[in-house]
Amino acid sequence: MTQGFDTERWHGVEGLVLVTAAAGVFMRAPPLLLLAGLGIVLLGYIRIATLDEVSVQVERELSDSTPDADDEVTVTFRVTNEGTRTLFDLRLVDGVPPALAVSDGTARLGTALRPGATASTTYTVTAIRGEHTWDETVVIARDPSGALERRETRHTETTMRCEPELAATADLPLRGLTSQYTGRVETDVPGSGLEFASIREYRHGDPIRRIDWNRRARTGELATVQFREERAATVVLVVDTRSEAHVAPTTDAETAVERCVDAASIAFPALLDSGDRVGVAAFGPEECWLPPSGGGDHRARARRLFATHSAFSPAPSDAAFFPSIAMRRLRRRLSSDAQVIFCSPLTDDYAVSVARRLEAYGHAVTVVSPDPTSTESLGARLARIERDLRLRDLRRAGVRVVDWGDEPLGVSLERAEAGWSR
Amino acid sequence: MALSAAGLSVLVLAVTSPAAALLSLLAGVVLAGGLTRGSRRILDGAGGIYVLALLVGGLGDAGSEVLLLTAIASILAWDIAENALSVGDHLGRETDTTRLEVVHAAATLVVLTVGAGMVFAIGTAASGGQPITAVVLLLVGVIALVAGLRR
Repeated sequence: MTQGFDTERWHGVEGLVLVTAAAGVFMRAPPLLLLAGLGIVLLGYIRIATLDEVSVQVERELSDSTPDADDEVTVTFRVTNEGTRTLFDLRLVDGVPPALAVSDGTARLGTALRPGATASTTYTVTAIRGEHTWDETVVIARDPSGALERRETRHTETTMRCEPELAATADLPLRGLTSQYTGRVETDVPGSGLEFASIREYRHGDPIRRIDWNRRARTGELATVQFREERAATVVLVVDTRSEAHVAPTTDAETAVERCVDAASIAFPALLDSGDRVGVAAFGPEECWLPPSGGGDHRARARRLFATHSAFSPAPSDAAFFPSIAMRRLRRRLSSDAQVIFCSPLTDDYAVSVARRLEAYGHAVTVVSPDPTSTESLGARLARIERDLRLRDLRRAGVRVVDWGDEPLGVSLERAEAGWSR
Repeated sequence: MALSAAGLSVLVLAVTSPAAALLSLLAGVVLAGGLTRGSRRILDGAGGIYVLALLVGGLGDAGSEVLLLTAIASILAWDIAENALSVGDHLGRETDTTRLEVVHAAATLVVLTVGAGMVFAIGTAASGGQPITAVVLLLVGVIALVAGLRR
């Protein structure tokens, strides 16, 4: 029979019993001898302790396994003693997914269970975007005296998937770099469009609709009106998922990665609706790439990607990250006419260099930067100043920057847009 | 966690000899301190003071019954406190662990009570003035036997 390990909680009792007995003998005090006798009974109780294999079954039930973001999900956690012996001291710690926070109750259970009996507890977690799988449950059992302990784990497969709808709540203005397809980005290329650009001499083959008939009536010359051509852009949303981006102003606030993914999932449908081809990439240890495309399928793919891809998980990844390799891979994937919307909190200089390098390679870069800094301490204020300097650096390099504070993204965009030149 | 307070008060009441009562009161205070600080070392210190209190009581004029009752209360108090600490370590403060702790305390209490009853019965039956060496040898033998029990 295998035994649990010694908890060492009763160590030293033997010595105390002997001391008591000796004192009783040498001082001729019969009560002390009785006391020693009681000590021996206690020792016997500790010594005969045994602890068999713990046979318990753990079950978990979610009130909703596909909740919306910020929904409260009630988890019913049940444990049944399937053995033939009573478990006097049973402690269970449920493996709540690291990204989920328990908002009500605790995911732990301590009880004594007769054979066949079931104990349960409920707790509430707040759903956030992503696919969350419960870890193993740690089962700790002790014998009645507490002298022996046994630790085991039980695994029960439970998964919660939370895929928020992609909602275009803010329109992200794009820069001038476009593909050859018609869209909504106004370019300086003269051609057909809405906004007047220039008038040039008539050339054979120009459409009759665009001939400037007023001028023809005035001067007798044929001239063609040109408009600014409106074209579609290819946009790649690059989300900074490096461990440096997993920062938040307070311990229970959303991390910058969360807000970056939020920004990307707001921008994605907005761009898609205006006819641009949109792709998604993660710049971080976990690899993620959705090539630019359009259409309903693409929207569904992106929705699932934002919700469940491990690269966008709210908890930082343990995988090793090699920035230069990731950078090279990203460059290779970006087509030459692709714009980049880089979502990063800009908490270190490397993020700045990524944006500047992409800009230098000819991809018009717009940085959407959720502000993770606070003013609570001196260090935090320093970090805020450093970040402000980085933003200024980027703006000076010609990169468009949206500094996203606590307000909705649309408000920040509006404010940022006022400062942009065309 | 506060369960052990009950054990403490029982103990203080049970002690009649003043010096021992003072010591066990001190032990109770130390125990409470250990619980609030969550320190196992302070708890062990409290246990030591309890033993001291019992020794003082035994060498003084406390009767056997009182001493055994005090011993039960002391051991129970320490046991409940230590168990509460370990439960707190494993499960945190917010979890409801009343059932777990009550079962544990009850088991200890039953064992101690039965044991004390047995010891007391043997003690009264055998208080016929045997030679002290015989008692010593008996004690040593029993301790050896218990220590030799298989773990």
